[in-house]
Amino acid sequence: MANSSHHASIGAKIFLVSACFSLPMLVLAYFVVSNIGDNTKFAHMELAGNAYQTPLESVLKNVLEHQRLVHDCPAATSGCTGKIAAANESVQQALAAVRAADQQYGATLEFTAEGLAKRGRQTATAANLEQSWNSLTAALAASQGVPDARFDTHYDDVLGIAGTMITHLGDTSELILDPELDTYHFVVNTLNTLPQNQQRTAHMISTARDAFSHGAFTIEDRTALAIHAALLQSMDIDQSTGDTQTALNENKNQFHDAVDSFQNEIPPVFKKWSESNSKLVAATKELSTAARPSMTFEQYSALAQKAQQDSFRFWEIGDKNLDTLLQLRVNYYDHRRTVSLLLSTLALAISSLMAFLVTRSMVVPLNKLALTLTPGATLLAGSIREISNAAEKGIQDLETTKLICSELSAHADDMRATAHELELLVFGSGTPSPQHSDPPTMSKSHSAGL
Amino acid sequence: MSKANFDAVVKLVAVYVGAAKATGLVERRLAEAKLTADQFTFSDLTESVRSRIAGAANLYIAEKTQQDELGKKLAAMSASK
Repeated sequence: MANSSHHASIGAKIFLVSACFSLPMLVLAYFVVSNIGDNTKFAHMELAGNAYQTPLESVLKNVLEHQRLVHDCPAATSGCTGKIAAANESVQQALAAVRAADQQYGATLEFTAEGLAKRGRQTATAANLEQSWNSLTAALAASQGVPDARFDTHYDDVLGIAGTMITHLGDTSELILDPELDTYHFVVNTLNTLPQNQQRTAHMISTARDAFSHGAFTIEDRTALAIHAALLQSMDIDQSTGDTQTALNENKNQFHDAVDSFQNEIPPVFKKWSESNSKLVAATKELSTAARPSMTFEQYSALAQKAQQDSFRFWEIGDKNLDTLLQLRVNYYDHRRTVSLLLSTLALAISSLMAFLVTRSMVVPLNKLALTLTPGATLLAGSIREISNAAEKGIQDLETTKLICSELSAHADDMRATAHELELLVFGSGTPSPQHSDPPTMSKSHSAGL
Repeated sequence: MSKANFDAVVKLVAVYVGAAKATGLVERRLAEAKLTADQFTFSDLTESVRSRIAGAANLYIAEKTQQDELGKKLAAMSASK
């Protein structure tokens, strides 16, 4: 290295110095672009998580509907067989969609044996979900559609697996760690509050069904209903109200302007969901405290179903808008990466051009000096040789003498001009050299004199 | 007018004395002979002019063989007129 740089031209050496200073710039540009790439990857992971959760929500919705129909619309009843079969078909379609999502995103979201085992969620697989559903429908077929307490355990198994899968995808897709305030608060809705609310309303129907079957409500029935009402209010309605309002407020304070679809579509579905769930809270409280219930089970179930439907509707609209916000973030970071790359390239090109121009301004006079010095040295030797020959021979060759003087004079002019350029290079144009002076050129005076 | 002939002579001389010195050297010799680069033809390469160009160039050439070689090439150039 030392030997090769010793023989390198001054231009190559200056280029090497410039390259040394460009290196940190390139490394910094790499880290900037890499960091932006990490943010983009983060948002893509969240989109994948959202895409996987969509069919799982469909499973939840249709399984809960199936459960309700099996209990409240027995197979023997006219029209119910068809409704239950349709609900089963909807569940099958949702399970197929989960399978497709698993094939597309399963590995990315660590729905693998290893990924699930690391988190103690070995049962949370699409295959297990499907198997659990099939064993439920097989048991139901064996009982000829007459429900008993065992079925609710089967339903809980299916819903439990779907719930664990949602928790898993929330963790592995980083949705749970969303870095922007609007999406962070909204993800709490789509990932936690609403799925929890959907299952809670199903449990509330189940509890009420059980309570109404007793004729007079027991203390256990009233306590269970009171707990449901309290949790629905605090864990679902209050939680979601805070998160939704913060998401809407913070949506205006992000790297983008307020997103119209988010600002316009979320408030109405949230309001509808909040109102129907508040009515359910009031009805549940009333059931838990009144001496005689003021409504039938069917009326209560209808209230709970409405709250559940509004919850799924809120989730669907929310999910669509969450995708929009995440895509906006991806586009933002893609744009930033492109701009960063362009600016880095531009900065590098400008610094390279400046380095080239500065190098050339230094190298050109040095090259001229080098090209003048070598033949100049030969000229001096040749001149001395000719003068010596003439002196030895004792002849006076006027022509040769004139040639020697002419060439020496021209060489002196070349040297002076080059030396002047060298002075400018060394001292700059603002600072004259200590011995700067321009003696008259010799070429004309010597030529004239000779 | 074309400077092709002048450039040809400069190119030949540059091989021996270097590009930095060749142009000035030939220009000075032609000026001494009252010739200009624009109007220069190979027929102007008379014995006297060739001798002056070769003589000045020889001051920059250490090797005698190269000095002779340049002289011959200038003569050949003159003969090609």
